[in-house]
Amino acid sequence: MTTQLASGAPGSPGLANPAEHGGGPGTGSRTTRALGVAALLGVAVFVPLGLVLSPEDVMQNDLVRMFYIHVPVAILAFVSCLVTGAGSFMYLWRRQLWWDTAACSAAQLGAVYTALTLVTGSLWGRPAWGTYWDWDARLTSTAMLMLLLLGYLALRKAPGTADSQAKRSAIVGLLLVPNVMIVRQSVDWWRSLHQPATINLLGNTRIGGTMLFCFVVGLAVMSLIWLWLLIHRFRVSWLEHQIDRLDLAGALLARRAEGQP
Amino acid sequence: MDDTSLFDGESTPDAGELPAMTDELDLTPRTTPAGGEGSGAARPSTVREAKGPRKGRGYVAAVVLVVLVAAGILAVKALGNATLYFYQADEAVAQKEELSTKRFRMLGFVDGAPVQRSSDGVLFSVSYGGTTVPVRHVGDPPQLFKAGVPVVLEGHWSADRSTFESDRILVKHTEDYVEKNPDRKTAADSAP
Amino acid sequence: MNTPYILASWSIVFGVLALYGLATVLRGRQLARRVPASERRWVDSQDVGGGGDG
Repeated sequence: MTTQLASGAPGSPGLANPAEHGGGPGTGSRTTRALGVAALLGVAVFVPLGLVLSPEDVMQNDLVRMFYIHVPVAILAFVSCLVTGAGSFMYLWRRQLWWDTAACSAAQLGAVYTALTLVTGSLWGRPAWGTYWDWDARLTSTAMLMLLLLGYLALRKAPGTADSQAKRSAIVGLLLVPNVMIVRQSVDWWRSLHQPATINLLGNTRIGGTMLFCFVVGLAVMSLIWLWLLIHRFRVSWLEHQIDRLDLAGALLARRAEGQP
Repeated sequence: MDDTSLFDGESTPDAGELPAMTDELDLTPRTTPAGGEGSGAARPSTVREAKGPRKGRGYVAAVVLVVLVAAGILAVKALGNATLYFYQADEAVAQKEELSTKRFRMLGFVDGAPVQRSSDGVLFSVSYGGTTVPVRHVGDPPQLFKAGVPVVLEGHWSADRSTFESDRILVKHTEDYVEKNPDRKTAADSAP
Repeated sequence: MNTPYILASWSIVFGVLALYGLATVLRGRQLARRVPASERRWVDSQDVGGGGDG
C-alpha cells in the first residue's frame, strides 16, 4: 500500500488543466470511479456469498459468518495504522506535508475501522463466548489502539502551524506501529479469551476451502472500499490544506494575474 | 491517463529540483518557472522555510526512537502483568492451597461425559493437561457449550477444594473452522 | 438464533462505511468549489464543469 501511495506521487502528468475554477467533481477521478464500481460489484457478490451461500461451521454454526466481516475489517484497521506509521516516519524524515496528509487520512480510516472491529467483535463475542466484552489481552490492547487513534485525531485539532502540527502528530503516529504489533501478537504472547490467528500467511491456515474462499473475497472487496475511502479522504485533507494555507481566492488569483505577461 | 497519480500532491513540475522547498503547497502559479521564494507577494507565514541544520532532525529522530522503545516496553510489561487471564485446570489443581476459595478463571476442555442438569445449573467436568476437575455451574451455559469445547470458567474452589464452583462460562472457541458436512447439515436441520 | 447478531454486524459495517464515504465525498465537493481545478490534479480535463464522481 505505502509504496503505491508513494510511487503514485511523482512525475504525474495531470497539469494540463487550464480551467481556473472547475465547478468540478470534488474528490472523484477516473481511478476512484473505477474503484467504486468494482467495490460495489464486489459487495453484490460478497454479501450473498458470506451471508447465505457459505457453509456453516462444525462448532460455530452460522457464527462463522462473523469471520468474513470482522477479520477483514480488523486487518484493514491494522493496515490503516501501519500506513499512518509509515507516513509519520516519512514526514519526520523528508518533512513533506504530503506524507503528513497521508498519515492523517489513514489515521481517520484507522479510527473508523478499529471502532468497527470492536463493534463486530462484540457482536460476535456475545453469542460465541457468552459476553460482549472482557478484559483479555487482545480486547484490551485493541481498546488501547482505539484510544491512541482518538488521541492522534484530537491532537490534530490542537492549534499550531501546519508544520508543528504535522511534527507532533507524526510522533504520536509512530506509536501506532508498536501498538498494532502488540494487538497482533497478543493472542500468542498471553493467555486470552480471543482465539489465535486462523489465517497465517506462513503457517497453515486453519479454515475450510469454501470458507477460505469467502474470506478472500471479503478481504478483496473490503480492501477496495478501504482504498476508495482513503483516496477520497486524502484529497479532502489535501483540499483542506490548500484552503488553510492559501488565501486562495485572493492571493493566488492576484499573483496569477501578476505573473501574466 | 491524466489519472495515473492517485495522490499527486507532490508532483509540481519543480518537485525534483528543490526537494527541501517544494512541498506541494508552493504558492507560485504554474505559469511562472520554478521556485516560490524571492517573489515578495503574499507568501503565507505558514509555508515552511527551508530547514538548514540536519542536526535538529537527528535529535528529534533519536528522541522519538527512545520514546517508542520505552512505550513499547511499558505496554508489554503492563499488559503482561494484567494478563494472567486464566489458570489452566492442571495449574489450578496444583495451586489449590494458594488459590484457596479466591475467585479466579480456569481454562479446560469440557469432558465428553454427559452433562448433568442440576436444579439451578449444570454439573460437568473439564480437563487440561491430563488433570480433570469437576465443576458445578450455576446458571445456563452459553449456546456453543458442549463436550470437547474449551471453556474459561469464572468462580472458585469449593470449601473442601473438591469442586470448582463456577458462575460464568465463556466459551473459548478455537481458531479452526471446519465446514459442516452437507449431509449432516440437512440431517441436523430436519431434527427438532 | 444468531441471525440478529450477524445481520447487525454486517449492516453496521456497510452502513458506517457508506455514511463515512458519503460525508467525505460531500465535504470534498464543498471544499473543491474553493480550490481551482488546476490545484486538484486528480481532475480529468473532461470532468471540469461536469457533475458526478464515484
